[in-house]
Amino acid sequence: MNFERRIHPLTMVVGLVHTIQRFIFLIGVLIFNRVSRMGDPGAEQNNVFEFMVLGFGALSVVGLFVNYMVTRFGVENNQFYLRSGWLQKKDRRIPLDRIQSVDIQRDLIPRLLGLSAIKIDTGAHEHGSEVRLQYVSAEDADEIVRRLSKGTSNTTGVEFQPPSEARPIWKTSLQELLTAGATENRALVMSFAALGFIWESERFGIKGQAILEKVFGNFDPAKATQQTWVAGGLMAFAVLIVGWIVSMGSTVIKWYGFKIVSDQGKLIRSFGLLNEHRTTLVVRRVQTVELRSSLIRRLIGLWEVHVQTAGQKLGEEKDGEGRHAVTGAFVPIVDREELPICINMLLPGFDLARLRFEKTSSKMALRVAIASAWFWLAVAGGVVASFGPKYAWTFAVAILLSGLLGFWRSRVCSYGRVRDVFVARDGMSMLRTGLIPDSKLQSVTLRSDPIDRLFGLVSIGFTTAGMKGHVSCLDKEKGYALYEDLCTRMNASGDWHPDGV
Amino acid sequence: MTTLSHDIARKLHPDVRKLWRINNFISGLFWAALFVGGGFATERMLKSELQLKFPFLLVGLILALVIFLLGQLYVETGYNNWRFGIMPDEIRVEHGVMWKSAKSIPRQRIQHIDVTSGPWQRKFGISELHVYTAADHTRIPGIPTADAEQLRKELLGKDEL
Repeated sequence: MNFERRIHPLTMVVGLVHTIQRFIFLIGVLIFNRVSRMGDPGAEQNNVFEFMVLGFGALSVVGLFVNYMVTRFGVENNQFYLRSGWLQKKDRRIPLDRIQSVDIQRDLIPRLLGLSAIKIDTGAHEHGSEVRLQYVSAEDADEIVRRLSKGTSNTTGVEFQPPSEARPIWKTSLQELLTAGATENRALVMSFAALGFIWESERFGIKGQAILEKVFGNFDPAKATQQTWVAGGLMAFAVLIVGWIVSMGSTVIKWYGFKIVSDQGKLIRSFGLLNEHRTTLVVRRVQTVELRSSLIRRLIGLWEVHVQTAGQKLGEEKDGEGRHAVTGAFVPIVDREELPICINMLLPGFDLARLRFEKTSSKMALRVAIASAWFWLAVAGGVVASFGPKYAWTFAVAILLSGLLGFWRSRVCSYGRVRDVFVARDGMSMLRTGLIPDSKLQSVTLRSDPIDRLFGLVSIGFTTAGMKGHVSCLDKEKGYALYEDLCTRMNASGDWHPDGV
Repeated sequence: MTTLSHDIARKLHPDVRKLWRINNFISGLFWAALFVGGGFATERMLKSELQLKFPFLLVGLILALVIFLLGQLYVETGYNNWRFGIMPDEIRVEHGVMWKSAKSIPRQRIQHIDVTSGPWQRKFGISELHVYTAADHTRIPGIPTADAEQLRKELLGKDEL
């Protein structure tokens, strides 16, 4: 089992390309500057910046070489180790049974050179939970993951089956990916980016602002002909179509060939057209499963399935609520009919058909309306202050909007239970349903603020090692009962081992 | 809002109020400097220029005083609302004046416990207990230093001893 390796020598080439990528803008400006001075004998010759960039480049090459020479990794006495650093030496050791997951990532440039990066996650609460080993050859990466996986699953002596040979238990077709892409539209983002570029184009010698002025400056809706309106409409339609095509294209490029295979309590998913990803997830380390669906996707019955583990940086996404999701969605698109099968992969034995949601308090609509009213009233106040008292009707709109938001949220926010899994649902345009096994709960909190107390309401907050969540606006008695129920179940669920030993 | 019965609930050491008052006094000084300084600067720079009659310095002084007094009031109410309970299976912590909360942490979920005490805390002979789970950490301030060490051992079980 013991072994020691070096990183691949071509790592230096990848590092150099990444350094150039990082400073591409600066290099571009210097080249542009040099070209523009050519043929101008009067131009001042000042090469300080060029020399600085060249010096920095030379230092980077030396740094990459030193990194290659001093980095060693391997397995010794059932511990993975990574020794790196020259001036400041670093020796990281991770017991194999503490490894939460092992990912292989093949980005475009390393992939062209036949290299892979390995991400090893330990699930530590604070920083530094991830060890990134870059780069090793693709064959070595498979071999290393095989060796580390033995320790992860505590099944020493059982041979690891390469995912390509195992039968996939989940596959996402190209048609499904196109549908997922079609439910998003990048037109707005693209339009803003294009306008921003045109606005700033003067810096590059393009008269963008003048073009904008010519197109839109003399536009008078009262004098516009029918042809102008048709042309404008067609242009907007074209932008929308391009936005859809870009959205579908980027979804397909990211998730192409998505499949999950099951292997001795582990789920191994692989996907990606340009950048290949392979994630190994130990099922018993799943902390929470979250189902998400946007307003448009809900209309056609499509969901995303997210998974949170204890790993701080297992995926590439960590949202504002402290969720540590596995590279965005774990499964990018799931049809409503297939949702029970997908959830069962992650929470074996969970029967979605038995889930019955219970509503929160009937006072929630009013409570949420009051909480959001101050914002909308402030907006209305701003409108009246800017444009005069004839816009006072915006206050009525603000109150109506707050009421509608409160009503909408109160219709959505609910909770339920299926055996030992607590379920909490919240959100408005983006509906989120969290499935939290009792055994993964870390703490439960009963909260109330002055407005809550005025209405006789409380909220329940809960944490797992992967996320924080809450159920808002419960009637006091109901809230206390749910709090005590969750505490009892959490206490009775036995030990929780952060490292899944 | 309480979920703890009186026989289980433990209070913080009364001296923690002195510590909170000192903290409150220091932060009060900061706010006083900000408001009074702001008021003084506004008086000097803007009042004569814009012919304003608003007593900025006086308002700054009053605001600083109100914040200081509210802080003192908060110390008493905050202390009265702070209680915790060590039960066979869990720790319960309840506190808050405006935003009240009651938290339950199963003893089996505790990853580690820190006992800390700063210079002022040492002067009053009190420590702070930090209970860490895999998800977050909970702070219990104002525990007598000797009790804090005993509590740490009690919560981590016999193995730790």
